[in-house]
Amino acid sequence: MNKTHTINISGIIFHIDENAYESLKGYLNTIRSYFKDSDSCEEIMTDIEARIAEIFTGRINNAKQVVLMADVDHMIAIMGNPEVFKNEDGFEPDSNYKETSSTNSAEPNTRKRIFRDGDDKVLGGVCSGIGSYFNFDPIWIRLAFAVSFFFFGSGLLFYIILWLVIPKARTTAEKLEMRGEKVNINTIEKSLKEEMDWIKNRFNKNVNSPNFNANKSRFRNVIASAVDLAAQLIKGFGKVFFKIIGFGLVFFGIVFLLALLSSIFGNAGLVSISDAGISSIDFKDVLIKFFNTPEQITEAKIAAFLVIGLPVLMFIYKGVKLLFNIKVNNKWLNIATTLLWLFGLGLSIDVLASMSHEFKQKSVIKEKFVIPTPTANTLYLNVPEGFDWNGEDDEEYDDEDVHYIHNRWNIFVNNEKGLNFYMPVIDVQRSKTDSFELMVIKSSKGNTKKEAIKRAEAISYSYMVKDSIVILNPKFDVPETEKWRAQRVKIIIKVPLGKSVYFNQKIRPLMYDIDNITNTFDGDMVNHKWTMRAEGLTCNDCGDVNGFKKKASEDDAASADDEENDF
Amino acid sequence: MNIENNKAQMRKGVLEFCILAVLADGDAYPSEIIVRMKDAKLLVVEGTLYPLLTRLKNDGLLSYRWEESTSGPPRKYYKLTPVGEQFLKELKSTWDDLVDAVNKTTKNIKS
Repeated sequence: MNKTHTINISGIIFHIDENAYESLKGYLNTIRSYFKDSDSCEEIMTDIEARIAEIFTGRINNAKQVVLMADVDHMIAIMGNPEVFKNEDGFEPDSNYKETSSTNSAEPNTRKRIFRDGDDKVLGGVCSGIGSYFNFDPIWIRLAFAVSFFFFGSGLLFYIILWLVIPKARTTAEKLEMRGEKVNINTIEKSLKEEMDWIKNRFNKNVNSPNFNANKSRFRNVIASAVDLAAQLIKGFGKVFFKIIGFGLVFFGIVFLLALLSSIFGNAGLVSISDAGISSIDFKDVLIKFFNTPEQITEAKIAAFLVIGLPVLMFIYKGVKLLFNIKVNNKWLNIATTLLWLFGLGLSIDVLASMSHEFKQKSVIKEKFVIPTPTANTLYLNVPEGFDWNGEDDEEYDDEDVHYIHNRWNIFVNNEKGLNFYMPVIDVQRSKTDSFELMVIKSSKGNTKKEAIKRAEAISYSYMVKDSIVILNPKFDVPETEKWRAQRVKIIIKVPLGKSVYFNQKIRPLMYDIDNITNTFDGDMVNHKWTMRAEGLTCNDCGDVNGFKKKASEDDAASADDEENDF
Repeated sequence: MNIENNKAQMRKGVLEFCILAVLADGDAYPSEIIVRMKDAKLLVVEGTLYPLLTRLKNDGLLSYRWEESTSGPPRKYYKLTPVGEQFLKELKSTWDDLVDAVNKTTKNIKS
């Protein structure tokens, strides 16, 4: 006794005997491959299937409920072989047609394709389609998607892409193609072997064909078969190659999408891991510090998602197409994504334009203090006692329970209070009077001059002078609610002629391109005593001048006097 | 020279003409069309008809409506459109001219 299958043709359920099922499957596949390049392929297939259903309905009754081989043969006799179609209608069969039909008849190996299963769907039938393709229970795929929906909706986006790219199984032939064999080592080996046999057969057929012997130019024919064989091989490798590319696009696309979505909608940020522990800049805090209103943040997020996210989504879309060898070209989808992307670009320009206004005006506040000349005529610059920097280039340091990162944007990160601390820079210039002077220059930007001044005034900076020691705070503060508008503090130590200054090692991160006659780098100036001479700052105890690295000469361009205003 | 191939080529040209002619007698669904065509030994199998009907419909010569069937899925009943009727008239006069011409040139052949 034979196994029976249950199939749905044009909405009517049939029980069909196993042999008859294989035969029907092969027949429909052959017709399909014959019409597949025609625009009305779907319609023709639907019509033909409706007629097949009608023929089968007429052949079954209460006594005989199963469609048998004889019924399929009867149906094929009525409908005719696709070979005959070729002779009787105007359709030109595509070049692959003969090959496909001959391989189909030689081996009942039907091509497996991915489709969405409209008969077993929750949303779009994507999961059940994938389940059929890989011979998996769709419930697990549904579960995986349901879980991924919670990863910032990335699963939902991926689902929508698959929905768009995978065609729905409309005809019975497609529904049959949808059901694949279980993928395991054996089936892979089997399909490889079949592929190799097929190539071998083709080769033999070409060599042994009557044409070949009849033709006098044998040599040419051998070349032709070799070229043909090579083309087939390249085609085979090409398929594998495109699948790998497709997989790469999908995989990296999803990783990138997750990163993007999590930074836009989640709390991820810049994370730095060092000896001092793990510290992070919360992306949300950066946005709040930078943008004016929550609406602006939302606008910026949407813009970022559209401008960066859409191309990523398109990469995934292309990847899925390559991976499953789906040849669809959705014109409207392309137009819609292009329009959305341009809309995102417009939003970005709008956000950037409104933000650039915020940095239009600049205000500078200068405060000058005269330092009583210390007894030793030397000023020692240092940071508060107990303050310790960690690291060298990307300086980090711990201040009791607060952890900081110092980076080249001079932003201090405080895990508890957010981004509220900023780093001043120190310069040394010649004093025009006979006494040491300390200048604190606070500056900020803003939409209007007034706003910028207000912000500059809100900057608080503290230092302490104890006879010959100047304690400089390594950070300045702005009110917690203040936006980040390029607030800066510059400290200029003015040294009178003949007097000296000493840089403690710990002040190094604050030093910024201090001019001296030997062009010594800031890093090499520390732990030395420097005296202001007529030519400029000169090292007293550096020993051999040549032992020091030279600064690049272009650095000298900025003169000491300009520096105050240039700030 | 393959005689079967030649016959098929000849049939191919007049097939669409005949489908339109059958439908000029009244609306029909593919199986009915096929019966008429088979009687005239024009078509052997039904499968051929579907792509042709679809193409004629897409060209605007035919339209169709759905009708419920007692034995199976709903049926597509095809009908000539005004464009189709006009087209058929032109084909008919071309055909008549052609038949005349062919008869005149081939009357020397004894069957």
